[in-house]
Amino acid sequence: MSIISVYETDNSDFMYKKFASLASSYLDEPETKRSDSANVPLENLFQLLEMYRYDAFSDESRSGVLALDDVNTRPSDDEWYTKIKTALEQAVVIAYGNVSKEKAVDELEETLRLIARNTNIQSAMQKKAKKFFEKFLEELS
Amino acid sequence: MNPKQFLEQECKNVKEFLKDTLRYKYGSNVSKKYFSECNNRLKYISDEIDNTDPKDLVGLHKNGSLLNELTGLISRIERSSLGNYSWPFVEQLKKISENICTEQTLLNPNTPPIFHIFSGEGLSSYAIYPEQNRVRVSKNRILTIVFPRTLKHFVLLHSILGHEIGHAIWRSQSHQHKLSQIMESQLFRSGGPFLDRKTTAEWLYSDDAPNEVKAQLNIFKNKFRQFKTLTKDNFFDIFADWDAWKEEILCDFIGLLTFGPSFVAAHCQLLYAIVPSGINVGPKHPPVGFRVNLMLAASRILGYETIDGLPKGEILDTLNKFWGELKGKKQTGTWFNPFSDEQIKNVLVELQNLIDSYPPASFELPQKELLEKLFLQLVSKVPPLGFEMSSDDPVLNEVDFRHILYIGWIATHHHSQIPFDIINRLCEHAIMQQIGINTYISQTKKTAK
Repeated sequence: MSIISVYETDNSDFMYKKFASLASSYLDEPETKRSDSANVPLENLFQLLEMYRYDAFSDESRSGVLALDDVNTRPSDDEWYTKIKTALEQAVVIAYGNVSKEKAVDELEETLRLIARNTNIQSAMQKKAKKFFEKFLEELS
Repeated sequence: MNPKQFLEQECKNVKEFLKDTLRYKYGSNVSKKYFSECNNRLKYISDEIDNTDPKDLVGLHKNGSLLNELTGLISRIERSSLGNYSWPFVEQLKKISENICTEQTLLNPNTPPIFHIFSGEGLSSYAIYPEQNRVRVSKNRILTIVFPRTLKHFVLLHSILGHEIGHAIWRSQSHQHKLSQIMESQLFRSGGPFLDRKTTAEWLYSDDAPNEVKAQLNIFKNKFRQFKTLTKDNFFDIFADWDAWKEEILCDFIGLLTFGPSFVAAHCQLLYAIVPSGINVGPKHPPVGFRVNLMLAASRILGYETIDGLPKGEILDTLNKFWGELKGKKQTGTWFNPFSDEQIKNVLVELQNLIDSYPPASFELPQKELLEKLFLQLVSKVPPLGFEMSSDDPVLNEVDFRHILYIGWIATHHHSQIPFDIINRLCEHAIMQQIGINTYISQTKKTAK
């Protein structure tokens, strides 16, 4: 028996807010050299954009092929991504207007790559990405 | 210490722990990869804790959770250094999985996963744990493969891990998109009980359902306080996860297409070893008998039960006995077979096309000549592999380890009744020696160029 019962809730909203806030701050100085660990938020945002691109948010932990299921593990009431997906949709519309989801995701992913490579980013691209992260953060708040 | 100071101390502890793990060996070129990956994750979490206000209790709790997860992962990696698993099998499993599990990351369109393997407790511990996509705080995905400790050398049963390759590739967003499209269009929405949650629950609670299923549903309702109100209308709200059931069905198909008949044999053997009744309606797994019947039907449709051109005789008799016993595990009654052959065929064709794009993931039936050679070796209690003595020099040939496993399964039905554990050891030795032969052949080819 463990010494304490801790009820863990999903961290996703909290963490993606953090990642978006960090990515937004990197956008202000894209050419600044950062440590390898600074790529962690960028990588996570990239993976989130891929989930959004393919509408592939299924991500629950599965037990092994022969696992004896614990009947006390109930299905969760809410999908972990519902709020995040809506926030992404809203932020894409505000930042990229009428362009397709695929094109917006392509541009955002390219922006993340340029930040990770400490490369200069075109002003228009930078503004749109900044707007995207601002709206995404607002929607998650 | 306040909570923030405690976490700062714990970050230092984890750093020391991570360094400690480098004392052990984890296979060639693996240590550097996982150390760099875990070190990056730790650096990120440490920076976040440093930047968290001591009064921000939510922030501290969330970062503490990330740190705990990382510690758990490093513990599993350290445990993998014990090496209590069949390394020849693992080498081959990694070989067939790496290409299909390679995924796109921010700066590399082809990032392979990092594999770690350890042994777990109990028969049911077979698993591959792919990390979740959401907030994984990482660059490389770390796949942890678990084998039951007691079955260390039982390579024939390890074929069950083909199912787990399915869970691993489901994590890739692009694969998930395609796999979902295939399963929905060709199987779930083309008829049968998986149109939606309601139809699945109706199938489960139908009058045709076996009495054992009805009894089990009653046990849930009467023996567990939290399920007193369980009915078919709320079954997938309060008891089972419908999406998990569908993912399990997909992963069984992936297991079949990656390991072939050996997967079906391991599937039947292990599922019935754990659940002899063949029922078990689980929160995350659909009934065992339904899964076994689906795999047997799929094997028939794929033509696995025969080998082209195999003449009448000892090998054919043994092959037929092997399939005869497997088919004996089939549950009778239409309830257990809710999908038509046409649906199963369509889904197999499309899944096969996808897997074929990532060689060498896909299983192909052996030619009869190879089957005959391997069979004669094994029933003579010689490891079945690509080595023959000719009048001049030994002749070496490449052999897919899945063909060694298949011949092992067939030989379990040979009249000489070689014990199951001995067949497993012979096959494990064959896989190990075959790795050496394959390396030699590939070096010889390079030198010849």
